[in-house]
Parts: sequence; C-alpha cells; structure tokens
Amino acid sequence: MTGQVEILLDTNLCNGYGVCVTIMPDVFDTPAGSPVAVLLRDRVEADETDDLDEAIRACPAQALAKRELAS
Amino acid sequence: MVIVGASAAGLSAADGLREGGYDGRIVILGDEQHEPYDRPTLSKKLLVSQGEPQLHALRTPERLEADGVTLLLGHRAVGLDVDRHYVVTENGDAVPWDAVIITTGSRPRTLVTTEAETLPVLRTPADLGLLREAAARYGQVTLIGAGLIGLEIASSLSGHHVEVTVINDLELPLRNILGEPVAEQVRELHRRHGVDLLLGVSVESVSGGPGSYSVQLSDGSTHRTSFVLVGIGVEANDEWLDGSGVALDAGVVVDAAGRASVPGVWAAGDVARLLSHPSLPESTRVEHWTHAIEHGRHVGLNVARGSHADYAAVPYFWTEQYGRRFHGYGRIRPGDTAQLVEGALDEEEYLVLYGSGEKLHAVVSCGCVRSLRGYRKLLERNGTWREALDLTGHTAPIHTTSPPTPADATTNVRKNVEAS
Repeated sequence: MTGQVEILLDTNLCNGYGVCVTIMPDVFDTPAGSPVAVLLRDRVEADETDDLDEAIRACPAQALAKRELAS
Repeated sequence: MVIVGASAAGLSAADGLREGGYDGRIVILGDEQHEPYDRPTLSKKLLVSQGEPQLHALRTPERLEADGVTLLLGHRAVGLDVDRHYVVTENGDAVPWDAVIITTGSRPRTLVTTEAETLPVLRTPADLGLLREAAARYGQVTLIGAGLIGLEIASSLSGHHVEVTVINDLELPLRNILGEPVAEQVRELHRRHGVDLLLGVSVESVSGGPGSYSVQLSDGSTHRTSFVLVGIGVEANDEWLDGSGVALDAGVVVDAAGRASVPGVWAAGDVARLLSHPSLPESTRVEHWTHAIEHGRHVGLNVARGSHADYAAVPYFWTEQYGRRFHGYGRIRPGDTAQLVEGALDEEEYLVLYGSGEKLHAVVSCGCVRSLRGYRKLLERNGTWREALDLTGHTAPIHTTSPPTPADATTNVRKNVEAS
C-alpha cells in the first residue's frame, strides 16, 4: 500500500526555470520576481507520483527529490 | 550495456535501464573532462552571475555509484564495431557491449574568419568564461544567429551595460518555434531593451580578431564590433559512426522505439533523428532539454525490457527573455492558425494556440505557465481544436472544418504561421 509522498525542493540548486510548474501547477509555482520555485503543498498522493517523477526528471538543476511516507 | 555520451540523454538512458529492471553493468563514456552538468544554465543564468560560474552536477558520484553506473570521462568514442560489438575510444580502448545506446548529442555549427580562426560559440563552461570576460572588457558583443540561445544571451547581456547587436538572415527570428504573433513580441522586447537587430541580412564574411572585427553583410554594409559570438544552430555528433554500418542522416536514424538500423544499436536525445513521432510532421531531431531526458529514459526502458514501445512525448521548450518566461508544447506547422486565448499580446501574460482545421498542434505561453498542463494533456492524447477552445472557456463560434474565426478583434489574433 503506497501512501503519500513528500516533495523535497532544494532551493540552493533551484534556478526557477519553471519546468516543474508546467507539469504540476497545483504543486509548484514560480511567483513573479522569485528566483526559485515554491511549493504550494509538500505532499502528493499516490496517484500523482507519475507526474512528480516526471517533474523530478525534468528539472535541469536536479533540485527536486521525493521521500515515501509510511501510510 | 554501453552508453556513448555522458549527456542528459545518456544519464537518463541509464536511469531507464535500471527502472526497466536491467541489473547488469552500465558504462557511460564521456568526451568532456567535466562531470555532467546542467548545460541550460550556461545561457539562461550564469552569464550574468557574479564570480566563478557554479555548475550543478547532473548526477553526484554517490548517486552514480548507488545506481551501479561506471562513468568514464575523457573517453571520446571514435568508432563503433557492429560485428564484434565494441566501441573504440580515442585512447585506443575497445569497450565491449551487448547493447549500445548512442547519446553523443550535438555541437554548435561554427563559422571561421577570413584568417581561418574559428569564432566563439557558447557550449561549455570555457566558452562561458570567454564570453563573460569579453563582455566585461569590451562592453560590446555581436551575436550571429538568433535562435533561443542567442536571444537568451542578448537578453542577459543587454541588461548589464553591454551593447548588443544581433544579426540574423530571417526577418522574424524564432517564428518557427514561437509562432508569428509571439515571435513579433519577442522581437519588440529586444528592440525596447536597446538591442540592435540587423534582420533579413546574412553574414558574408568575418575578419579580424577579439577587440576589432569586421562583419561583411549581404546588403553590402560592414558591421564593426569588438566581439562576435556565433549561434547558428547545432549539428549531430554522429561522424564517429561514419562507415560503421549504422544509418545516418544528419543524426542517427531511429524508429519510434529508438532502434538504429543495426540490431543492438539504439540512439536517444538530440543525436537521434526520429523517423516517426505523432507530434512531428516529418523525420527530425529534437534539440530540447526535456526531450533528451524523456527520450533517453524511454530508450533505456525499451532496452531493459526487450520492448519496442513507441516514443510519443510532446516536444517542450522554455526560454527566459528579459525576465519573461516562455514555454511551448507541441510543434507549430506551416499554415497553422494562431489564436490568442489568454491575456493580451502587448501585456506580460498571454497564451496562444496553434493548429489547423480540427487539429491542435501547439501551445505557446508567456507567463501563463499554470494553464499549460491542460493543453499539454490535450496534445498528448491528440485532442482537437474545439477541445482546446473548450478548455479556455472560450465561447467563440467554431467552424468544424476550417480554422475558427476570432470573436473579438481586440482579444484575439489570427495569423498564418509560415515555416522559416
């Protein structure tokens, strides 16, 4: 049984490209003027992990990671 | 398994192999001495950063070790033996393979001066250092070519007290990827920021050297500048496969699964010429970042699983110019209709759809990044123009067999997009 997954954003690495926002706009945001992305929430449900995995792969700065949470 | 090219595509191919269940040895051969790094940052961020450029590693040594991936840097591949299954490197090594994935990427096209000096490009950290030094020393840079990278450089430099000139043979740079209405906005953005655009002229020759160049233009004029940087597109790093038996056509020709013409040989990323893809009208190489990632992974999965699944990810690019972020999905085709569905073109945020008849081909946004997901999903499942308009909440009357008519001339724009 897969539970929630925690999203880890390393703001030291993030370049604010916004690629993640195009994949999961309800999770990531790049507010105007912000040099880095921000998390609108820090967890995704099990059925969203494909999208999260894609966002992690697509980040050119490798600033995203995830951690499985016990359900 | 051997992966030739320590590129974003190559590393993703290794990930795909592991994800697909392959548990044998993976060797990645890289030609540069650097650990693989985030290359987009060179033109998108580091040009105007202070101090030594900080390159972000694409993979830490710990991660590679955990994944069981052996990275051999400074091992440029010079030949492929498809009978005995070896990759030959310039050091004379013969690296054996059961399957090989070619991810050698592309390199910038170059121009030489009349004195036979190769003009600078922006591809590596060393190139970046040279450009930063020249911009600081001369306060003047001329870019030959106006692709995404060239215009990103122009946008970065012109905000930092550097006099920038852009020379391009097209009247409207980026029209083929942004579409005419958006490309016009980008052109005006550059003009407003003081970039001198010399458009519709080509370069006949360049002479001189750093500090004093003369650029002869096709209209008979001469442009004088302190520093020249060339950004006229890229070509595939495939010449090392000449004579190997692997079919080449300005890139390694691959089918929808990523297979080259020789069994056991695959290719991914911008070195691969895709023979068929649902979003692309003809065989093409795709040179965007996320394509390298997704195609690399896809091919790795196919190799590991012994499967031949078709690759169908929708092409995507992004660029930042003067703080405005542009994102695009899909591929605009000649004759497409453009329709503005969000914002206004002369404002900071807008979104334009491209398509013809009932087909949606592409979406390009400036700032409206949060709206993109819906259109992207539509492009992934080959959705229609009507479905795209439904997404916008747009209520214009829609004709089922011809492009839609703008409902309101002040909020809609409709133009034909020509290939360039």
